[in-house]
Amino acid sequence: MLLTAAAAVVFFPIYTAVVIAIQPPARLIDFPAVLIPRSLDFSSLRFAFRAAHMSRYLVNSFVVTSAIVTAQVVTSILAAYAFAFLEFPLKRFLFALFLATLMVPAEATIVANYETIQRLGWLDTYQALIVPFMATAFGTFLLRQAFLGVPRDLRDAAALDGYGHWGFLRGVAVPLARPTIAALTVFSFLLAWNQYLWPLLVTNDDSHRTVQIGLKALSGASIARLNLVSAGAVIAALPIFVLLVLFQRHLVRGLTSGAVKG
Amino acid sequence: MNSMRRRLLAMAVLPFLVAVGCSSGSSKSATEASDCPTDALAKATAPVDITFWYSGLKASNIDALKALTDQYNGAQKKVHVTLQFQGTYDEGADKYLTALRGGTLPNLVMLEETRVQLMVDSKSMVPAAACAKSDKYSFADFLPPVLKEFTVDGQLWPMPFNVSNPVLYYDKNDFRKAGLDPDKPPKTFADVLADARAIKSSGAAKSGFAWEMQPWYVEQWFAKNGDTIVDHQNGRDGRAEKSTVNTDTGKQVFGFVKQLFDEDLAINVGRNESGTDTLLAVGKGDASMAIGTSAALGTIYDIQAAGQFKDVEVGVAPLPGPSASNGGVQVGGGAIWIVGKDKSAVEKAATWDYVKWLDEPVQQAYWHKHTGYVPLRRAAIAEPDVADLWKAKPTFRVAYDQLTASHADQGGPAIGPYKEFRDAIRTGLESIVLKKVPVGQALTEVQKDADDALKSYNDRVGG
Amino acid sequence: MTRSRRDWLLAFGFLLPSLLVFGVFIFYPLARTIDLGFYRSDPFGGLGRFVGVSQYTHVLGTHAFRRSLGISLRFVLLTVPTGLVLGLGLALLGHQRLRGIRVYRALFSSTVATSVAVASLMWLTLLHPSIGLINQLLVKLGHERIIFLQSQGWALLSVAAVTVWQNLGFTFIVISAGLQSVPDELLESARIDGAGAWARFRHVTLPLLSPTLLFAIVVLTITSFQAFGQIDLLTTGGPLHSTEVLVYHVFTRTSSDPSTAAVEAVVLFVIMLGLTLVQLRVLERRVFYGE
Repeated sequence: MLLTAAAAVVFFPIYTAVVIAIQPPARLIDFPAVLIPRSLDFSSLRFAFRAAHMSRYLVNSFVVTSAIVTAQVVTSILAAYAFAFLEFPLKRFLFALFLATLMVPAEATIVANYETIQRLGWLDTYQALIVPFMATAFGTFLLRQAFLGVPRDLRDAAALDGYGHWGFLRGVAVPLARPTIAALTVFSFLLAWNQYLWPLLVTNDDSHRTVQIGLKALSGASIARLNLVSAGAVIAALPIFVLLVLFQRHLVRGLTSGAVKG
Repeated sequence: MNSMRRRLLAMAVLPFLVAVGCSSGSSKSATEASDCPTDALAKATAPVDITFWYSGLKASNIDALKALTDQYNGAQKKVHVTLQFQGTYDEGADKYLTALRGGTLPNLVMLEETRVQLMVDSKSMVPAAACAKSDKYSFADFLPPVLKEFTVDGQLWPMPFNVSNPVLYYDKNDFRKAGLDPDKPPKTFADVLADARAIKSSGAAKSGFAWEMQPWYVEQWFAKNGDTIVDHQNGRDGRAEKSTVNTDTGKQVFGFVKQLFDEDLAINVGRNESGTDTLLAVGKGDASMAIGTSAALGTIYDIQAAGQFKDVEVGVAPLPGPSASNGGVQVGGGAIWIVGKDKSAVEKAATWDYVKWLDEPVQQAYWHKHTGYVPLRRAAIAEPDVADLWKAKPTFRVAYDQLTASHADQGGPAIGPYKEFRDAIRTGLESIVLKKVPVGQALTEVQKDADDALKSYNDRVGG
Repeated sequence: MTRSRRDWLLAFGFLLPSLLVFGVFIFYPLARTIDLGFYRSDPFGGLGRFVGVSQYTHVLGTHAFRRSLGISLRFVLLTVPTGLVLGLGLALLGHQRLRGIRVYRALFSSTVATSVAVASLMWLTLLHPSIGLINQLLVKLGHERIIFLQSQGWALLSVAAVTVWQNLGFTFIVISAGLQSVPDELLESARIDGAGAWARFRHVTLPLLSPTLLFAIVVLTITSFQAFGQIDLLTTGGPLHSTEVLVYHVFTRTSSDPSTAAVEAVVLFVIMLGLTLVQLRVLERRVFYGE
């Protein structure tokens, strides 16, 4: 069936990476062998985790990413609410300003930001990795889209019932936008987890370095040890995969709970 | 000024002085960037912490550096070195340049040998010569080509440490299968082509040669031919202004590459960012010969020890190429720079102590044994460890012999915008192999790009 | 205080955290970068000679800049439409009411778990000329080996393919969410009225999906223009500059020629801004905002 074929094609690279990661190092990967692993060997995973410091990097990535995601969800909800439900001067200008932030390439800001961080004395700290990313126009637009979908009648009813903005936000808007918030969480997590250049620049030693740096160092140092590289990749990807599986249920639940009905 | 006003002035200035004094620490005061007061360490009352940004090393070589540093830290209490990995050579250099623009600098930075002119121009480094002078340290024992490479304007700037040069790796078993003498590896371009033909026709491997787009080899071939790649004596007699690659040597080198592919004797692995793609090709039987850095030797033996590529008998030979009597290979690899900008006397002295230790014969012997980098000093070769290694595995001495046999008068090219220069050469190589551009045209384009880069650099850095 | 005044204050209060972050970490650096473009800086942090706008006009005219821009545009054209269509296809496939569809949905969105580095490494090993599985398969099928990442013809296509693959998860999730908001009753009534699958898709699903699709197109375009990680890991801009998109071109000279890099980064920003505005204006007209 088309479904199975599509799924196979999409999932194939991830599948092979996992298989390679758990093969004994001496075996080179040949074609038929990769589909059905003949022997299992977790030494590559263990090595990547311990000797290559992936465990430390994982912790750092988790701390930093969780902080960024929380901050982004909060600031996006607030900003999206303003754009969706409030009227104020310069609204269109500010919206364009938000939009513009998405288009400023990292190269245009990275060095100046590095100097700012240095001046604040934040090199090699968690703040340097978190604070510059605590807001996102992408999240704002995503949530604005969701908020705009809240039916007019609900808004009017809430107003009649005496709900202020805070009450409406907490009681109506946010619950209705739960699937979108879930999606935003996943995406924000992914983008923050993905960062490479910035953490490389503002951290110098292992204590604050993140998983992507560890992965690149691993691959640069030993591409011949394919198992090790794949092991590193699997470790780096696993947390998000877990998150995805967890949130998938939440996404589906939110959608089928009849929340967004005409 | 009456005493009242003087007192008020002093009171106004005092907090400022305190602030400045407190912020710069106990006995720290920034010295001239290029000073090296090595006696300051003796006066230090507490252990001095220094940071070392290293980059460009792979796998086993990183482990060796870590082992050495741990040893140093454990053997004395005056200095503590923290190693911080900064990625590839280019990433490490970029990081340092960015830090120069507004960040904190480390005490030591390992950079590729191509960055010599750039770092001298940065005016942020301490020449090792200054430290040596203050400490009455002698470089007499160091290999002359190494010293020449890193000397600019009569001073030795970085401390040489990880010296390598390109060698030929080949599979002796494949040679036997092709009817070639495994102990007579090719010496010239013509030899390489002949051997590659034999290998391909005998089916010993799919192809004779594994080629990577590596500009470094081009520079080495120019050196072997006793020729320069930029004017002003390769940038050593004055700032380089124009490239000189469009010469007979250039035509020979580019012609060789072109012929390799015209006769379908080589496979192209591309840019080989990982550093191992050519060797992987040899291991997998796609080719029998490949040029690689001598510093890969340690990793190769490690990989074989782990069980892969068991049927390859590794042979190492000097770099084949044009052969002139006044040429030879040049020093490659990297060196360790002592950072001077905003560093205190104590820090510099501590840095010198560590870097001096790294180059001691015993450490150099260890480093060589575990990596394949060339031992820089004659005393290191006298170490029993090295002598035993060379007897058991003569492949380890090829790079060393090659270097000492060089007749180069001066060190390698001193080019400020070296990275851009290499990019130009690489584009030339790619256009010959991938676009089948004629040699003359490719060389002209290389020269144009290289000259543009030189002009832009000199325009902005000048002096 | 009037209600609207209170609303204004609340609005600014809600926007303040975001604006603060944007101001310090995006607009301020952007201004500094624009300024840097007016000088001829050396690699060591020295500002250098002031040359003003002439550097902007000079850089815009260089062959290297134009080539990089062209490659960026080609890359966007290769990845965005393909990614959108494939994502839509997967979303439609995953939207069916079948047993165990949740497993398929998880598999379709799995690429979201891969960061650019992870995805690139996975594909690097797959596309490797000697030990890559794809070449092994090709050889087994009797085909010639293809040097995917190191031949001029294939390099950009390969990087684009990896990018499309990596974005599939994202596109799938976004469009799936959008599909959920297409009321089943409308589709049912259309079917009862005799509309075939294609007609139902064209006249019911697609219009209701259009805001989501617009969102996906805009985001895909922006990220495509800013693609960096996969190029750094897979091809480093080669061979022969064929994958040297503008972002990568800027990156390679940020340290050695900061002022030229600054100019190019600013121009990239202006282009993306313009492109997005055009996209929004042109496509927004075709978007159907229900009710």
